[in-house]
Amino acid sequence: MEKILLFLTGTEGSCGCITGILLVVLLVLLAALLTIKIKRCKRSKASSVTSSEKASEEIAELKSEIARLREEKQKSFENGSLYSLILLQREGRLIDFLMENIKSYDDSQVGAAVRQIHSGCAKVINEKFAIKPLITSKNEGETISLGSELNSEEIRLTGNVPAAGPYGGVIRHKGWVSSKVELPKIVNKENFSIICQAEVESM
Amino acid sequence: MSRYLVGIDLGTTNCVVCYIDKTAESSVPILFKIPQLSDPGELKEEVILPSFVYIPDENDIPEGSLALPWKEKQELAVGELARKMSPKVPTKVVASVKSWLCADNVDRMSAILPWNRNNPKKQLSPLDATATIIEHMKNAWNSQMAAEKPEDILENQTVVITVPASFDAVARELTVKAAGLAGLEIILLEEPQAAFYSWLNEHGEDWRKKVSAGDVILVCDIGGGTTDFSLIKVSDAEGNLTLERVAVGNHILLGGDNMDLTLAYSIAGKLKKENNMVLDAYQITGLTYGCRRAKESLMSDSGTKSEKLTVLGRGSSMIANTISTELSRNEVYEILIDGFFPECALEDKPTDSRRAGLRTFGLKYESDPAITKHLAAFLNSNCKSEKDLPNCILFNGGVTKADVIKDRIVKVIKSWASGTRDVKILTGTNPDLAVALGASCYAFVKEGSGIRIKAGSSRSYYLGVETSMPAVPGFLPPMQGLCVLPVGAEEGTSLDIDYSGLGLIVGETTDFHFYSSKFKKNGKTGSVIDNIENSPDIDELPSLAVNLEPYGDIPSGSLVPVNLHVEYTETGTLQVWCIDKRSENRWKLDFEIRKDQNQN
Repeated sequence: MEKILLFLTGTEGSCGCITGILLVVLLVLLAALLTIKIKRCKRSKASSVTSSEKASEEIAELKSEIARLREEKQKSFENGSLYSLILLQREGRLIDFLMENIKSYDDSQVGAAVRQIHSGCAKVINEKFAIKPLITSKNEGETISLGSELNSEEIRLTGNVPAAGPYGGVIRHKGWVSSKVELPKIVNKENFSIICQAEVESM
Repeated sequence: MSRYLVGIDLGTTNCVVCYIDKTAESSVPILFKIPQLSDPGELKEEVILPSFVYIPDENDIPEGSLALPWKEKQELAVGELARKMSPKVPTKVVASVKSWLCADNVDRMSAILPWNRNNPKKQLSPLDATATIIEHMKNAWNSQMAAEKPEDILENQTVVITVPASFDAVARELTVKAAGLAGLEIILLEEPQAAFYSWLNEHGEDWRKKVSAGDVILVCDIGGGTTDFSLIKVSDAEGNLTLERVAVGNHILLGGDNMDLTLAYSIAGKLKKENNMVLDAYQITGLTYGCRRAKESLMSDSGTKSEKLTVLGRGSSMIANTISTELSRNEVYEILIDGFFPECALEDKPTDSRRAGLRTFGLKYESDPAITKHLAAFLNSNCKSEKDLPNCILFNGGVTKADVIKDRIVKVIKSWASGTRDVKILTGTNPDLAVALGASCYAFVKEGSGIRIKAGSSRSYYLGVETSMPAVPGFLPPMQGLCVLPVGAEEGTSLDIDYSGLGLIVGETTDFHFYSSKFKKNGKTGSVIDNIENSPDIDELPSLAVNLEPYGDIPSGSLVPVNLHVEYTETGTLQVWCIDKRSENRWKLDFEIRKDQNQN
């Protein structure tokens, strides 16, 4: 049963992470194996043709295994992205909204719909991704000093940036971070490209 | 000895499981997150398991998408997915199964749910549907809690399942049977009592300061689909406070869901009147969810005057078909408070418009939505004087989170006591989860820790005995009711009744008429009520039957004189046995539930 539990992206026990780790472990193993194989080949020059053929077969197999894992990782990344769309559509009708030509409606009509879409999508963002601001100590527009140690993944410096710290400036955007990813476990579901099923009602 | 004490709230709309780990330091009940499908192929863990069963046909959903971690091949789904499907494909989803379990106008053992499906292969009996839901919880538990420790499987734990206080012997028996089908041996507990155990647990020893001897506590449990009342009396026994559940109410099929629907239909009516807009079933469903949210926000925050309600268009051209309206605070108050909780007199009775000659089968929904009138009828028949009226209330169920509703109920009860008694609200913190929490606390109490509510059987039971009289054409001889179990008989009671002239015919099925009453009609075992069929406040239950095979040298058709043996079991079910006066043989009388339909 465990086998068919295919995880989506996530921080805890997520597929991206697991395949990532697996990939690294496998690469290390492979590298080790390859060196051993090559050493062996070099050592036994007199060895038969068949054994060297066998070795290259094994290498090819391992290479294809790596390729397969890479593909799987890519696939789960794609599925995860699609699943976010599924969620936003399911709870907030976001795709319906974006796919509709809103030019012909007046603002009040769009506004009425948006209220509902907003609450549905916000539910997804809050419940599944727990999105929070990166800078919480101060508000946008206020000045902040950041010291010399800077996590450039979290904070982007703009404007007249010095070559070295200490850094600081006016907060233009407080940033967003997803503090957890809580998605359902996927049991027996492979096709994530259907964002919303067509619906036909029997009368 | 089991490691866990497990409480299961088997609700009409939602189930909750929680447990106390006896090996842990703290005996605070912990909520168990139940894995369930939230959409085809997607598994979620949630504290609440909606009590719905979705039984799709072959092409309804992708193959294999109902698989669960513990079972790959599944033909139905329990929980969130089923709840979501219910308004979309109502004939494929079993809902409100608990109310069906106590519906005595249908055959509860035959595959009739979902109602109106007409495909017995894709239908379940109320009994099996209940078993299916319990089994889901069992499998969920076993896969989460006992994956590495097989001895921790739910089958090995002490399990308490709650039932409405109004459940009679048949519905209780069916609940135990359903659990048995799912592989569980259980103990039953009435829901209002469970809520009260949760309150006791929250206050620890302090509860003794919150109530005093002479207090009468009303447990007012308004759930999604049902409302349940109980009265608990506080007494003083040699300096110690004791608690006794003294009365239980009827099964009232009325709850929060009715309120949301009422709001939705009233908004739909307004849209039709003002904009000439007619809503379809899908839009009504959307509107109902919107109304629930708006209601909760309007009732909890007195600052909000009105809430916007939007129902998005169904198709992909969403904005064009969006309906937008408003629900004001005044409307909610008018519709809900005055509609469901009107001020009324203690003598008022809910109107019963169910007198029409023709009526469809199905659930007996209440025809009077006034919960206060149902409450009046309950208190009027159980309180002899003003001092018996409740002076404390414990509210339970999601609806009672709203202060305005609590205030109204308190106000109405005060008016019944002509202002002489104050009415105090006992505050419980978890009106949605208290029943499950209290159920596990009860298991703890049963093992000897903490105060126990003296309760026992909520009804008296009578066996019908035909009186001998000369035959009169066209008249059946009147039936006497022999009391086999009085109100208040405690769990674990067993009684022998020597009733002269009682005999069983060997080789035939013998039926016994069986009756119950919630009042202390004639409260002693072995006492008799004359003409029981026509006595007020008596309900006839399915008959009890026993088929006695000829044995020994007793020829078929002869009469075996018997005594009755009655057990009110620790589980909370009633068992009636016939014991041969001349040998050690005994036979159990079973409910003839299958016959019900013919009687109607």
